[in-house]
Amino acid sequence: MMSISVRIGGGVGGIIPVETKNYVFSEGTTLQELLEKLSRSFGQDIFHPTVLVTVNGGLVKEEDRVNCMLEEADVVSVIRAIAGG
Amino acid sequence: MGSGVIKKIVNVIPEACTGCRQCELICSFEQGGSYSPRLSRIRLVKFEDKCLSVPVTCTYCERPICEEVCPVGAMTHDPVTGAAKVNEESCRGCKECANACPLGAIDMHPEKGTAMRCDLCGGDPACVKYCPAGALKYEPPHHSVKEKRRSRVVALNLD
Amino acid sequence: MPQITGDILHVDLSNNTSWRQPVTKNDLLQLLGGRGIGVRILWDLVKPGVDPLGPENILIFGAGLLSGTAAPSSGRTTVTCLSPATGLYLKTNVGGHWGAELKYAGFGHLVIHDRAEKPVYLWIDDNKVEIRDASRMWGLDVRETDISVKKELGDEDVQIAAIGPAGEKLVRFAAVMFSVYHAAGRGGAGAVMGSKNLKAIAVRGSGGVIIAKPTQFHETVLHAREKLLSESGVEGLSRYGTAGSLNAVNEMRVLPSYNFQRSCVDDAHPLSGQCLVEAGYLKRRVACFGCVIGCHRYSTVEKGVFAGSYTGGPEYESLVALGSGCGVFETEPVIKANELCNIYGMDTISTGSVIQWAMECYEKGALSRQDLDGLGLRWGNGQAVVEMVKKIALREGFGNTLAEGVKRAAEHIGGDTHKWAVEAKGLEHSCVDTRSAKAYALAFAVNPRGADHLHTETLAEFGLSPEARALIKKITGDEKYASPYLTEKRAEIVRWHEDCYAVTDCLGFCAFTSTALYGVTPQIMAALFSSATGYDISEENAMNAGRRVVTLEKCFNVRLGASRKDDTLPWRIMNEPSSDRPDSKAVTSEKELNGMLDEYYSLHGWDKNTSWPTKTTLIRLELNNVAKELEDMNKIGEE
Repeated sequence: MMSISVRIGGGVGGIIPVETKNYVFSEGTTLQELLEKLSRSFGQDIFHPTVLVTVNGGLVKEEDRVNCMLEEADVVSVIRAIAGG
Repeated sequence: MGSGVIKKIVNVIPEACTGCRQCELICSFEQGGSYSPRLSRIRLVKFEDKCLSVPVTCTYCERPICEEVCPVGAMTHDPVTGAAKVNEESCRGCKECANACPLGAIDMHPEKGTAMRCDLCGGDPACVKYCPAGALKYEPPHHSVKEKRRSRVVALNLD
Repeated sequence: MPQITGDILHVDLSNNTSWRQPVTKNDLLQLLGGRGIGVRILWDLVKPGVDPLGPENILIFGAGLLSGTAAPSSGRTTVTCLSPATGLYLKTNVGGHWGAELKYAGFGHLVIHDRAEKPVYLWIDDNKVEIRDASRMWGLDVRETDISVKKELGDEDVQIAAIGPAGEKLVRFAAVMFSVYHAAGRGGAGAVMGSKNLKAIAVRGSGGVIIAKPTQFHETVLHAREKLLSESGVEGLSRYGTAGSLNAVNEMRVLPSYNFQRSCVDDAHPLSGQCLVEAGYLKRRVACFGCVIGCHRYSTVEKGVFAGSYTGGPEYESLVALGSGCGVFETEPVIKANELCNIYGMDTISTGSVIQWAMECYEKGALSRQDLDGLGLRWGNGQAVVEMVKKIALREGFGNTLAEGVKRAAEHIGGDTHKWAVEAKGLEHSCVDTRSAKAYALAFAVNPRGADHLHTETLAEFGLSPEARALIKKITGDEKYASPYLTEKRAEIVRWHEDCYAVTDCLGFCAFTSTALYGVTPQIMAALFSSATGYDISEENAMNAGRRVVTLEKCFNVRLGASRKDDTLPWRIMNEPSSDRPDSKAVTSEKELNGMLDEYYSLHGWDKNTSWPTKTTLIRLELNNVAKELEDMNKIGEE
């Protein structure tokens, strides 16, 4: 079993500030699997194209999430991205 | 003229206005074929230090003052649609209408010298269609009053 | 000439004369308008040896070609001059509503020559031009100036561009403020205006903009509007403003904090656009002229120490420069500091950067509390940031050193302090972490005005939206290059963005419509140019004109003595990773930068050793007279 922190917010799933939630997942859980589990609580909004997902600060694109294996103490962020400047 | 003729007017929601001036641009283009806010029948009142903008246009008086004061009968409205009209042939540019309108919704055309009135674009006001901020609505006058009553009650947070 | 172009209005402040000059058809087709005509005028009138704060500098205001029309978000203006911060080319772009008013008065450009003996302001009332006494206004802040000029002229609707005390005191990053809160911020154009004793420029235009093919133009306008408003990112930008992305930037661990020492913090929410809305600081959404998005803010503080503060903004850059960069994670001191920058007339990015540098000096003992006039300039001390903003604007105490900009301040204090002076070419680096965004890194290094993103805005390299990924695929052939950590294909990405951004500026469009959102494409811009002027140009012509503008800007710097060594990044960016990204690749190393520069110069047809454009390149762009002049100076690139 491994502990993963998930930081979620910025309008995703109705959460405005960024909230940190701690989860425990079995070894070998992929990022895609984690997101699917999260979507049960936070809705399908998680998969919207404007929502970005990072692991330890690194962006993971939609097509790569299926192969992204998570490790103990990883920090996953799920947040809406907007143009800035 | 009495109530019942005016079906819908351009209703302003001032809190929503961002001051972009698209309404002035679209109106002047519809009316005269160029982008020239000076020729628009809807004008913004601005307070730049407070970033505040409020659109002002004809509110379609039930008993139009401009029509009463015009000495040559150039200011009329369509008996069926209620849309305001200016007879540019007979208008002398005396400016009585502009002076009489309490809202400042009538201005004089800088070249032609005749009065400029909002004619609701024949029933599909362009300003309403193209306002990007939702600050203009084309609806029966009493709708905004109903909405205001409701939103104030909602703000009381009684439930 | 098409009416939409507007004439160039020249004003000589030394002898109170003014004269009109039409734009030639050749210049219109070659340089499109706005920024493009501006660089041509600067090339012609400002030769090497001119002091940026002396009377020979020229200050140019160029409304976008389409400013004044209903083309969505096309009301922007470019200010062009020689920069007092860098000694190099400066163009700084601004929103607000002033440019459209200049067009309604019949002018597309305003060129200010020489300087006035005493403080004056310029009053352009349609075709009547007056130079009026401003001695009673000298010393007033920008907001007071705006109110005062409107009162004196008896018209609340005149549009005003003004400087505040910072410009008057020649702060090297003083801004010219338009429509009160909109800043032509970077590079010190406000100081140039101050050196000319020019307090403000008031404009009233009662005319309009006439289009050569109005039906066609209007149809394209409506199409462009619809396209823009259907983008995935519009709603967010409109609702939460530019700082709506701040939390996301933090999660990607590229949020500049503590002078770029860190790039991720536990809670950045108080600095986000979401917080401005949810916590009630945002009073209104505000739009620039003709803008259908409305990303600008109007914020107030009603309680606490900073109660009574009210201002346009704050924007993303300001929230990072005056907030996270300073270790301040509270909304209210940042709103207050932003208000002060606005009314004193100073660039928030440079102001924040120089304060961050001073904070790090204090942390490391390079500056004592005494040096800082007793100010406890510790990370996170929002009150001290606010105090320091005032001191800089008024050149009081240590503020006088900081008012010189971070490069000169570090040279003055000496030691190792240059290592945390985050600047290049003398311009403070804006709030993108270029250690982890390689196209941005290249773009910052080659930007003629110095280290910032507003020459290109290569946001697409993050691939954050389907539209961004589609653009990267279009430029490079493969969506996989939409990754900020790659150094491959960065030259191509930067080049496309340079060209597009130049066309955007020339026509007056906001960069958000073409390089952050992508609804206004080069093809649409070419179509609008064509129907507006009656001169048909293709997308390729338009991008080529953009190329020409970018190249002429480069040539201006080459003529001043710039070369490859100036296309660089701050020491910290190249040598020190953020402590939140300790992996060894998290700097943009000299090797990486050199690799990207080699590709970039090669792609542009510029000499790899010197970075100078070659004769072939210049002639291909029909810059023959420029080629000749550079050749005579032995500053032409080797083929």
